[in-house]
Amino acid sequence: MSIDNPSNPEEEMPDWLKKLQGSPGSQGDPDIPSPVEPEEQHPQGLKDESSTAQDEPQEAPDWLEVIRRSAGKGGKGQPEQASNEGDADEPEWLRTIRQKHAKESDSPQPEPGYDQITDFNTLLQSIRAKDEQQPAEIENWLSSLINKKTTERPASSDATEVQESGSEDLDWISGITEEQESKSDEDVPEWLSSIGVDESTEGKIQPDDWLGQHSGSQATLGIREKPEWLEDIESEDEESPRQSAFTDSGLLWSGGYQEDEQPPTQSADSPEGEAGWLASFGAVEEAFTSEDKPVDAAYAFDKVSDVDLGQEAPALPDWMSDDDQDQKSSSAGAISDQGTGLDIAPAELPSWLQAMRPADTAPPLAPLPADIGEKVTIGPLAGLNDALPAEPEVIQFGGRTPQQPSGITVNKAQQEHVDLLLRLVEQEQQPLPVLKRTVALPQQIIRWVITGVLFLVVFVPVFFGSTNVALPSPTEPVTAVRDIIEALPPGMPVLVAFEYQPGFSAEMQAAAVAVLDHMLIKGVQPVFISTQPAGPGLVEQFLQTNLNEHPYISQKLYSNLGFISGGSAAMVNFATDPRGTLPLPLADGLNGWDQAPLSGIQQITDFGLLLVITEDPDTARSWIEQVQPNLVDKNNPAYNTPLIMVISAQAEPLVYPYFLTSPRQLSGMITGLAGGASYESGLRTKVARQYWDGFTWGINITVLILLFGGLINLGRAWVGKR
Amino acid sequence: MIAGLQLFDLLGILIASTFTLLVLSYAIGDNALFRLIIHIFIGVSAGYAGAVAIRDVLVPQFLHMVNDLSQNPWPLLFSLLWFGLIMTKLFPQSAPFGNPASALLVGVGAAIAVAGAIQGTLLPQIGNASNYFQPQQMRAAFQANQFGSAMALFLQGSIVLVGTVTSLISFHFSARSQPNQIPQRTPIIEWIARLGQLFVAIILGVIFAGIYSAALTALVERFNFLLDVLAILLPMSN
Repeated sequence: MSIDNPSNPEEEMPDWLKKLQGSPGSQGDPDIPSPVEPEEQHPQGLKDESSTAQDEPQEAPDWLEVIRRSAGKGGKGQPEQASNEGDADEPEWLRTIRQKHAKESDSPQPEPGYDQITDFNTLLQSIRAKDEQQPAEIENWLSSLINKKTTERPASSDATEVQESGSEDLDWISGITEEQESKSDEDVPEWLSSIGVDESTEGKIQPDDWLGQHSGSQATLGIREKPEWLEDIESEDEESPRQSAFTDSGLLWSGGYQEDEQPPTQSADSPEGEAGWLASFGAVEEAFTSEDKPVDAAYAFDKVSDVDLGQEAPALPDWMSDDDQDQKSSSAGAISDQGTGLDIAPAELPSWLQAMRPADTAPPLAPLPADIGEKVTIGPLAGLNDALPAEPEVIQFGGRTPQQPSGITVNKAQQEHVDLLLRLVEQEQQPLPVLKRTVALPQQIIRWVITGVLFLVVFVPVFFGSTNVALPSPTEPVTAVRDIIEALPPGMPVLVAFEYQPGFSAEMQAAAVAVLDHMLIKGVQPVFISTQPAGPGLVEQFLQTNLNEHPYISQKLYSNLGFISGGSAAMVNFATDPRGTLPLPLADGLNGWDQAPLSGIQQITDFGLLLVITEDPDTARSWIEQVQPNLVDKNNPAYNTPLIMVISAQAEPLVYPYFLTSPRQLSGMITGLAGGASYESGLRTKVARQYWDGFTWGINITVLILLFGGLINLGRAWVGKR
Repeated sequence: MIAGLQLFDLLGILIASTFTLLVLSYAIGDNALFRLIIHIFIGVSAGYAGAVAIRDVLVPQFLHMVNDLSQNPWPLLFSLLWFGLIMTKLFPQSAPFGNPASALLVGVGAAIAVAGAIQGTLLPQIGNASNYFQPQQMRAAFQANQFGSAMALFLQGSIVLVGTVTSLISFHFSARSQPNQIPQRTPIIEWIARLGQLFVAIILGVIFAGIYSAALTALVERFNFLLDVLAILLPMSN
C-alpha cells in the first residue's frame, strides 16, 4: 500500500483525523467517524498523530462516520450523542476514541449535511470537498487508535466479540495490546514493537518517532486532517474510476498521488527521514498515473522494487528495520495517545503473521549433505544425487521386466520352463566360449588303464599272429551269399558297388575280401562302380592290396566304371539305363561298353549279381529301394538278379529286416568282421583270420570291463541309498 | 627301394604310420597333433572329392555332350542353362534366379526318396510283419506237429508287434494341460511308453555294439599295419 508521506511535517491533519482526536465536533458530527478503540480493527502501521491532533482542529472523517452509521448509529448528530452517552449500539472502540479526543482538542464540528454513503470512493470525494487543510500525518490517529493500554480499555461487547471470534483482521490489534501487557519483545515483531505503547506513556498512545516527528507532538487519537496521500487518492478518483480500496488483494492506499506530487526526500536521521519510507511508495505513482486500471497490491510492490531506494528513498522506519531496539522502544514510547489517552498493549503475533515474517530473519538452511537421497546410477542423470528419475520405475534400461499377462496362472514349474526357454534363446545369440576339456585325475587314470589293457590284449595276438580262436560258424545270411556266388557261372559279369568311406576300410575290407576272392575263384568278372567320390580309389587300393594274386586283377582285366554322381537319382538312372548314365568313350573312339566284360550288358539285369559294399544303412536302403525293383527281369519275372551286401556291424539292425522279407529284397549279407570270418571258415582264409584273434580278445576284455564297471556302479548306488 | 617298394610308396607308408600313431595318441589325451590330423583328413577328403567330381564327372560328360552337339544339342543347352542358374546362388543378389534349379534338385530327390520308401520299405515291411500271424502258416505248423515252430513263429511275431507299437508310442508326447500342474501323459500311455523305451534301448545297444565292433576292427587293422611297417623298415627275422 502506498501511504502518502506528507511533504510538510507541519501540514495540518485531515479533518477526519482531527475529529478523531477528540474535538467536540467529532463526538456529535455525523461526518466525523467515531474514534476507534484499540481492541477493534485498525489498519496496521497507522498511528495516531498526537501532535497534529492537538494543534489542529480535527474532524472525524466521513468514512468513519459511515461505518458508525452502518453499524446502526443513525445519521447526523447521533454519533456524538452515542459516544458521549455511551450508547450500547456504538462500538466501544469508537466511543473511547471520541472521548479521548474530546478531552484534548476542540475539533470542529463536522460539517452538517454529511450524507450516509457506502462507497468509499464517493466518501473520499466528499471529504476532499469539505477539507481545507491537509494534515501532514495520518499516523497520529492510528497511533492513537493502536497504542492503548488494556487497563483503560473499556469493556465492550463488540471488542470482546471480535476478540473471541478470532478474526484475522482483529488479531493485529489484539496482538499489539497483549504485547504491551506482557511487556515482552520477543514474540512481537520489531516493526510492531516500534509502535507499541511505552511504559512511560501508559494510558496514551505512543506513536513512533516518525509519526511524532511528522506531527510534532504526540499523536492523539482523533480526527486528523486528511493527509496528502488521501488527497491524491481522491484526485485520482476524480480523474478515473477506481475500484474500491477494500479489495481482496488488500487495502489499497495506492493511487493517492497526484501526478505532479513527488514524495519528499528526507534524510534518514531526521524525523522526516524516518518517515521517508513513505516516500518510497511515491514511486508507485509512476506506475499508476494516467492508467485507468485497477491496481494490484502485488503490482504496487513490484513497482516499488524498481525504485532506487538507496538514493531517493529515505531510511526505513524502525518498524521495517531490524536495527536498534532502543530506538524502537523510544519511538514506541514516542507514540502515545496524546489526545485520546488510549493505550494499546502489544499483543502476541498470530500464527499467520509469524508466517509472514521476513525470510532474512530466519536462520539460513544448512546445505544438504551429498549423500542425501538416492544416487542415480543409470540413464542421462547418472551421478546426480536426489534427482528425479528421467523415466518411471517401470521402464528399466537394458532389459525389460517380463510382465505376465493378466488372467494366466503360472506355477513354479512352468515358470522354470519359461526361464529355461528364454535362456536357450538368449544363448543362441552368444558365441560359445572354447573351453578346454578337463578330466579329473582319477577318471584320467582309469581311462589310461582301460586303454592300456585294451591295447595290450589286442596287440599281443596280432603281434604274435595268433590264430587260436576258432572262426565263427556261418549264419543264414552268410550261407545265402555263399550259395549265390557258388551258383554263378564262370565269366558272368558281376556288378560290385564300393559304397563305404575310407575310415571303414579296415572292417569292410576284412568282410568283403573273402566274398570277392570267392567270386574270382569262380571265374566271374566283377565290374566296379561307386556313387561315392572316394569309391574308385578305394577299389584300386582294395584290389591291389588283397586280390592281386588273381590274374584278372593283376592284369587289370577288370572294369572300373568310376564315380557316378547324383546319389539315389544316379542309382535309379543307372538301374534303368546303364549305358546312357555312364558313357565310356575310349581314346580310339571306341565305346567302353562294347569291350569285355561289358559287351553283353544292355540293362542292369544282364549282370549275374549285384554286390554292394557299404557301412551306411541309408546307402544300403537306397540300393534296395531304388535298384532292387529293377533287378526283376521283365521278360522273365521268375529270374531276378540277386542283390547281396557286405555291410558294417553298425548297419546290421537296420538292413536285416530287408533280408527277412518275403520275397527277399536282400538275398544275402555279410556283416562286419564276424561275417567275413564266418565266410572264410568254409573257404581259404584271408584278412579276417588275421584279425579275428585280436578282435575276439578285444571284445572279451571289453565285456569284462563293462561288467566290472557296471557292478561297481551298482554297488556304489546301493551303498549310497543306504 | 625297400622290399620292392618304390620311393613314393615308402613315403606313403611312412606318412600313414605317422598319422596312425598321432591318432592313437588321443588315448593319452586331446592334443594339438590329433587335431592337426583331423584337419588334414577333412581337407584331403574334400579336395579328393572335388578332384574326382571334375575328372570323372564334369569333364567326361561335357565332352560327351560336345561330341553329340551336332546330333542332339539339347542336353548340352539344358545342362549349361541349369549350370548357370545354380551358379547364381553364389551371390545373394542373384540367388532368386537359381530357385528353379534348386527346386528341380530338391523335387527330384524328394520324389525318388518318397517313391522308394513306399515301394521299397513300407509295403514290403508291412507285408512281412503280417506273415507272422498268417493262419495258414500256423495251421500248417500245427498239422505238422511242429508246435514249437508254431509257437516260436507266434512269439516272434508278437515280439515284433509289441516292440514296434510300444516303440512308436514312446515317442508320443501329447498330454492334457491341467491347471497348476505339469502336463503329463495318461498313465496307460506312460506305462506303454516305458516298455517301448526298453525296446529302443535294446536297439540302441545293438547299434552301439556294431559301432564298437567296427572301431575295434579298425584298431586291430592299424596294429597290423604298424607291424607291417616295422617289418619293412626294421629287418625282422621270423
